Amino acid sequence: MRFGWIVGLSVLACAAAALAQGPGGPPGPVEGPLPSHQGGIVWYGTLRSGIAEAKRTNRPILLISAAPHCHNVSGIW
Amino acid sequence: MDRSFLLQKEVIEASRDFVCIRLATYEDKEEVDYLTQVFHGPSGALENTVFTMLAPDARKYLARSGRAPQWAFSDAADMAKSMRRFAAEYKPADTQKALPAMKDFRLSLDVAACDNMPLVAAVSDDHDERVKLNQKLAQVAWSRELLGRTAYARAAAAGDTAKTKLALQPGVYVIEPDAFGTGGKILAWMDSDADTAALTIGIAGALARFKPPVKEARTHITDGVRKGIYWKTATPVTDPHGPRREEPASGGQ
Repeated sequence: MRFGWIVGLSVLACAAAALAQGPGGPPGPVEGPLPSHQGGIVWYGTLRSGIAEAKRTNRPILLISAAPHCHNVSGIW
Repeated sequence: MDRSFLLQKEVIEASRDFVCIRLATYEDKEEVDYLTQVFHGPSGALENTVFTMLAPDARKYLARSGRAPQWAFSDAADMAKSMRRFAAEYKPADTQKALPAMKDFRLSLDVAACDNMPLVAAVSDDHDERVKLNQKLAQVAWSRELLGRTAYARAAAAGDTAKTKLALQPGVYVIEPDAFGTGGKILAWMDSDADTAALTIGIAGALARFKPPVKEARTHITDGVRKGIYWKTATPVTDPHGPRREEPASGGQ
């Protein structure tokens, strides 16, 4: 019983976080991969490498940060 | 994280003229300090997600900072249009050549699982060889054939991979992460001496065999808690809205 409450509260908390991000709504199914013919955004995963490449190539920066876990369960944004 | 804008074709196309940086929040003290300056909540603490756009000097803000693109743009089309306008203000000096990777193997595997993507990872116990492998994988990552289709890890020593359920010997691997990004299945192995053409062919072949799992948030979290999955962050989680969970007695990953 307590376990169910914990998970329920966790999902609600993640949903609240998603709502705080804007009108996208709470997390439902996790987005799947892109169609095989189309690659997604190419991400640098460290601040130093990304900023160095932006300065070297004179390109603007799209910066995102997110925790790669929910309720300390990995494998989900 | 609401990725809805970031998965739209028009935003992806506009991103090719940007350097795109996606950090793992709470995994690096220096990055935590930087992100807290970019955006923080009323408490002053860093929250789970941050978004902004910057000029190439990383100083001038181009868009309103917040927790997600939805704070700055009405929809994906609006975001893509703004990105095209920002990009037109700067003349690129070169193509991108650095390896787009997380800081270590453990985090790379988790992030690949979050993205439901295969992970390309090179392993070598020789420092100079790791440098060469990173250079080769960077060429592959920015090739037209594989652009944005896989995640990459910075070349690691064999011992670093043993921090996950995978303990890899030297070589180049394509890995299908398990649901929690703590282990996975080897889809392909290539010799460290393979050239970029051979690596591209090997990775493309593995992509054809990749079967991403379907995840649903509640089920994933329930399964993770039941199985004792516990992700240890490198720095404390400070988001006042974020859920808290005590580390199990058995320890986390």
